[in-house]
Amino acid sequence: MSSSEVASRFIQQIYQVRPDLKLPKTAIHKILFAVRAALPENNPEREHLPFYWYKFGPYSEVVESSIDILRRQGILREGKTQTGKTLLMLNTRPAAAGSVCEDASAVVGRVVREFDPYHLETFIDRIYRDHAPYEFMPRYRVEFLAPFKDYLASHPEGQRTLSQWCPGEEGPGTPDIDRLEDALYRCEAVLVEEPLFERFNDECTAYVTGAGGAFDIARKDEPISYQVIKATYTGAWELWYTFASGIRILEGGHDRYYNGRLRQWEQEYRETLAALAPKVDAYTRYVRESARCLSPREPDRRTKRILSSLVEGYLSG
Amino acid sequence: MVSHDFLDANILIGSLVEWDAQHRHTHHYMQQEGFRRHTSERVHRECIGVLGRFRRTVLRYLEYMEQNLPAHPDPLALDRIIDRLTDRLVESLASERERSVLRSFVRRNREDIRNTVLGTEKGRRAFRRDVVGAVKGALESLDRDCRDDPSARVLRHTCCPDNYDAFFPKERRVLVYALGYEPDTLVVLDSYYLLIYTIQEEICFVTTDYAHILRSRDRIEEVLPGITVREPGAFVAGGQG
Repeated sequence: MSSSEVASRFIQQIYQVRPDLKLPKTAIHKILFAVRAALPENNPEREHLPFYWYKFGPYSEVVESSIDILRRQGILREGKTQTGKTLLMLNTRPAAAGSVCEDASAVVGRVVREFDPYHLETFIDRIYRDHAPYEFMPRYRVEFLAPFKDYLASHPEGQRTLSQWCPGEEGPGTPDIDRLEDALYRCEAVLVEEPLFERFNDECTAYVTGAGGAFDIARKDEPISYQVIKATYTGAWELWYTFASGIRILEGGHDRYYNGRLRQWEQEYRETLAALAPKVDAYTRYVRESARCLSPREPDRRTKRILSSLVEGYLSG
Repeated sequence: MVSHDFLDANILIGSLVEWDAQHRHTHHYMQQEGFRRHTSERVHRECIGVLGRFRRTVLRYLEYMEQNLPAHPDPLALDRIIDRLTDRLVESLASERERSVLRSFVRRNREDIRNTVLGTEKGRRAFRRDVVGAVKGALESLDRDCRDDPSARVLRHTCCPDNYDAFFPKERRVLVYALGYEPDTLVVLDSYYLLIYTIQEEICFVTTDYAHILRSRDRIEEVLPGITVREPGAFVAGGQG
């Protein structure tokens, strides 16, 4: 049986467990990834669900084409929500829907029953935490990008805080920015140390340097804060998309099924990386220009010692 | 008449801290007056990259320690454990410079590392923030000193081309061979470009880089007329150069 046929059966199995489900395509990918991860290593159906890690988590071209087939066969149909989001739902029950093996069927049942369509992000976050091949991924996607989105939503343009009226260096405290910035440094601490990622890592470090300045501007609540933070958020996603186009190339980032695609993926990755560099450069310049309004920090003994130890090592290396 | 000096990344990075030992010449040189100091956007970018790499190396190290230290390390064996883990990480680093940076960091901040290891997450976060703060402070100082502005301590020129294929192809070829390192060749050519197209006076290229530049001093001066190559000690009374 072909992978596509097996994947189609898995998809139908989802709707057999909960016929009322209305799912975005991405949820079907993630559910089947969770199913595959829960199947025993020796289960023969695992290899019919090949995935690779991409922009929004694990993705399967086989699942994608199976969804299309089921749609064309009229088994699934699309519906739009009020916000224009496309959801897939069961249209007709197939005359004889082949089912997956007993073990797999039990796993699908468990995963689908536990799945909460109203908290898809939480489900995806758990997949990142439990299954992402590199620690950088959950840290960046779940602990940095997601809270960054929330931060931006809760600080709309034009909203100012009391920081500007507060005398002294630190203002009234900015725990949300502190957390975001800490999360970003925790990502930098676990960059993917593979030759393919050497240049990406340099771009990431340049971005982190820029973002550090941007968060300082936001702390001071300067008039330009919103624009700077918005640019930082945009840059964060560009960085992620570039990372995602590279991570699927590494052995841990894809299943064997996709080995034939690696050369093409690498070419795409290198093009994306080349396009990222000038963007990061422009972003960091913009932040540096914007940061000129900030008063310089006074180093204490410990930060002086840290810096001089680093410079000394650099000059004698 | 003021003399024109072109500073490379070693000098700019070295001038960020006050020295009392082997690199004091850089600091003393930067304190001296009577020089018009220049650099290029390329050098400035390199400095920012170096400082970012400092942060990355140390954050990676602190993360590595956190992941690999036993949950309750024996305080009496702590130094040995730190050394063993440090050695292991240093061995895995490909760049000799990065190794040197990390070793120096561990040597000079051992007390803080020890306390961090034995302390709480709050203490670890505070130490991480100090590392980040040290790099931020250096970046600020670099941006303050080194600007595209004639009144700046170091005038950063933004006019140098990305490569020199169209300007000095022959000189570039000779120097890449002599220096054996293209990034340094481009920086040396930046100084020559400024000499020809902007400053139009002799320029002294100041560096502490022996591996590629000082070692090839005669060749650089021969290929790029008007450029002299010196180390900062040459400007300090009693210094060699």
